[in-house]
Amino acid sequence: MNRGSLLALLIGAMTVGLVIIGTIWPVHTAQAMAGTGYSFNGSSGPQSAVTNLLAQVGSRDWNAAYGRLANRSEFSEADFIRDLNGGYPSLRTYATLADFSIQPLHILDNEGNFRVNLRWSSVVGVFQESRDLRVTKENGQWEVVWPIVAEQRVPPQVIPVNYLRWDVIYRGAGDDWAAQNVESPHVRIIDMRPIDRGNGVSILGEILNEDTVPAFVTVKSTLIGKNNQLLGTEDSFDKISHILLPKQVSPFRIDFPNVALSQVDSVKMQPSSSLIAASADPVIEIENQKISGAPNSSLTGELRNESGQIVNITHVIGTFYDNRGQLLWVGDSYENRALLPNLPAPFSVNVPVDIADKVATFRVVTSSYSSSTL
Amino acid sequence: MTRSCTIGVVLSLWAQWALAAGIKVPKIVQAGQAISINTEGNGEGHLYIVGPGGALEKTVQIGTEVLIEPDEISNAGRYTVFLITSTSTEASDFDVVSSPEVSSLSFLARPSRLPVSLRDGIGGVAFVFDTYHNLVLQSHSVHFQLTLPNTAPEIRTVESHLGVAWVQMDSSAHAGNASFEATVGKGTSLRILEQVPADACQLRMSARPVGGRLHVQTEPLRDCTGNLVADGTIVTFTEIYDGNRSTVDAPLKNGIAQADIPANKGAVITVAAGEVLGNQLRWNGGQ
Amino acid sequence: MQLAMVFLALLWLVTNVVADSVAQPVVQVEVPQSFGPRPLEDQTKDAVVRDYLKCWNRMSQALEENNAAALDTAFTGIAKEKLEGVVSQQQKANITASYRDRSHHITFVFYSSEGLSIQVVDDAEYDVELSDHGKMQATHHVKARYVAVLTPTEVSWKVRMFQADANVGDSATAKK
Repeated sequence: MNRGSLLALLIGAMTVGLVIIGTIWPVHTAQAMAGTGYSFNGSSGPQSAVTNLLAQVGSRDWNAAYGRLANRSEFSEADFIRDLNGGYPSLRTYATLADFSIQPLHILDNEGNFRVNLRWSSVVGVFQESRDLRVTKENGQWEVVWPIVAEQRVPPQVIPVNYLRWDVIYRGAGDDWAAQNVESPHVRIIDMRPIDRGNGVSILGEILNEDTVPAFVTVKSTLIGKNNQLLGTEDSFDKISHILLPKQVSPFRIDFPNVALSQVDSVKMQPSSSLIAASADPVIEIENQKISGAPNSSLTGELRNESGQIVNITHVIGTFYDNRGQLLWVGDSYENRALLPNLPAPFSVNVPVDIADKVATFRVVTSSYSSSTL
Repeated sequence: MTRSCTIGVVLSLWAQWALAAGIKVPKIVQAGQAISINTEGNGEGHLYIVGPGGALEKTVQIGTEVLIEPDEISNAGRYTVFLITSTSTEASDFDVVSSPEVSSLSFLARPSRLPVSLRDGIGGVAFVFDTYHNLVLQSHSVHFQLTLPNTAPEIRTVESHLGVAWVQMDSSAHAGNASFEATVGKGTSLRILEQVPADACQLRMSARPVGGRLHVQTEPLRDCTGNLVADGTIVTFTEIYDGNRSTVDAPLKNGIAQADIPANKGAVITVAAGEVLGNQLRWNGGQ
Repeated sequence: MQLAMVFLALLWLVTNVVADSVAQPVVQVEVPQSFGPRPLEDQTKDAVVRDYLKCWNRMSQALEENNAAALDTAFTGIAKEKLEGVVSQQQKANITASYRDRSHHITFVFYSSEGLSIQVVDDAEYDVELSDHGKMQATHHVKARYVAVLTPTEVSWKVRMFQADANVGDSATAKK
């Protein structure tokens, strides 16, 4: 038997073995999520009550989850769903509960407290949520008291929206060759700095739309090594505000894992821009921005949507500078709830601890995604 | 024996001469006209017309006139006619030229967006064609007209050379969408060029309390030639208060940007548009 | 053995001379003082000449094989449409024609200010070889002036307009 066949056989055997182990001794959250549940006569213990509830939330069995709540008379099932799922389409609406952990705080004969950490998986990554849950024992059964968070609602009204909008007319199949498309917007990288971060290199920078029309921008970067060898090519991906209105500046960050700055001889930057239909709405004010130091160094503040349009997903990008105005870091976060007109919502962008101490000034920008069909 | 050989040779030569063919073609034919080719001799032969503009083959009776219909050969260019019989091959060239009447044109106008008051900033190139989409190589007057709303049009007339006419014009001092048109004969083509104002010359804002917040607003933002700065240009208002900062990026509309920010007594408010900094205000609670 | 070697050497020599004489037309390039409005860089000039000569090669190949796909890399727009029409006409008539260019005298006439079109005039000499049903019928030598407009694409200049100017040049007698 040759080496290839032997390797294939070994991998196959290991796979089968792991499947058997996972079936016989499953991880408890996976078991709960798979719906095998815990067998209980009612809920057999306080922690089981919490686990079962979260398992039902994870599988979106709202009716069953709501039925387990001790305080369900205080709010409707729809309120419960809105609390977890978001009342308006947002990241939360399409997120799945990837994992949860339960930490008992204290347990007595008839009541207990647990801290649960929920990890939601969304298209832009994972966001976490912590809740403190109280459990009570009624008629021999443990039930969870759900700490409902009433989502803010915008009262029905008409809000005139008259911000500028751009539409683009492109050349069509019937157009003569000389009818060229309108030129792409002129954009320019106004700042760039490569830094060593952990086990990789990050390229930090800022890009300006110096044109009078909106631009869809991306930035690609190529690292060239000392012997002219190509170390890697990466894109800014979502660490940039892609739609730039005239004279707007966006930070960007391009990450190269497993590369050391000492290997890099030169960096080639390729900004690209294209025309896009865009709206100057919504205008989002970023209030009370402040940076806090260790241990949980972060940039916090509040977002206020000054327009009439509901923003389904808000992306917050922070740029951090030292006292010489040099770029230190670009960090970002996504808000998992919709941003409603004129209702402030908090945000937080993590800042690496070693960088937070050096930050002298910072700038925050937002980009937003709104869709009635989201 | 010798006599019969001689007679045979003479007869054969005569036969060849008798069967030898000749062609007469007009040197120049206009596209869209029929082509008349005269053949001389007798017998049957094949007529071929080939060129980068077209190709055809006909079996013809030598000694008759061959008529090529206008739609068989309409592309302008150099053609070679071959008349081939069993004993001879004749060839001749002719040219098909474009019809003198211009039917359409291709108009390149660049750039699609440029600053005001730019000398020779606008370039226009027109390619002139006839009905069969042949480049009209004869000279024609091409009119280029640049018009901004509420301004008199600027017109230039240029003679085309080998089917091409070009012009360079200055952008006007007024911002706006200019229509740039090229016209020759029946051909006309329109392009839209955007003349954009320059960066803001001076940036000033004011603030007033509205419902517990502060409404900040800029004066109409103009460039140094008096044009309103392009709508949609982002103006950033920044409020610094007690170590905290609030910012809002507001777009210009009709030259004015406005936003509502928290009304914090003692806050310092600044405004910027691109690289242009405006005035600074200190809000003292109603002052 | 010696005779064979001499024969092979002669064959190689002849093949290369013939190949050279077929593949390499004589080319002269001229950029007059009045050329404009955009100045012509040497790199652009060389690229345009290279791509223009390639168009002759592709045109000959397309019309010799009656294969319109051969035009794709050298022609675009109206020039390509017209040549595709010629291929179609030749296919209908069961004829092919090859155009072996012998010499070019290329004069740059116009380069638009935004760089999107270049016009050249070419005094070309070439041989037209006609075949009917695959059988060679006749050859004819042509001198003609061609006017061509080239426009840039992603990787090369392509010919967008291509036609002869009237009454310039003469022909040689046909031979079979």
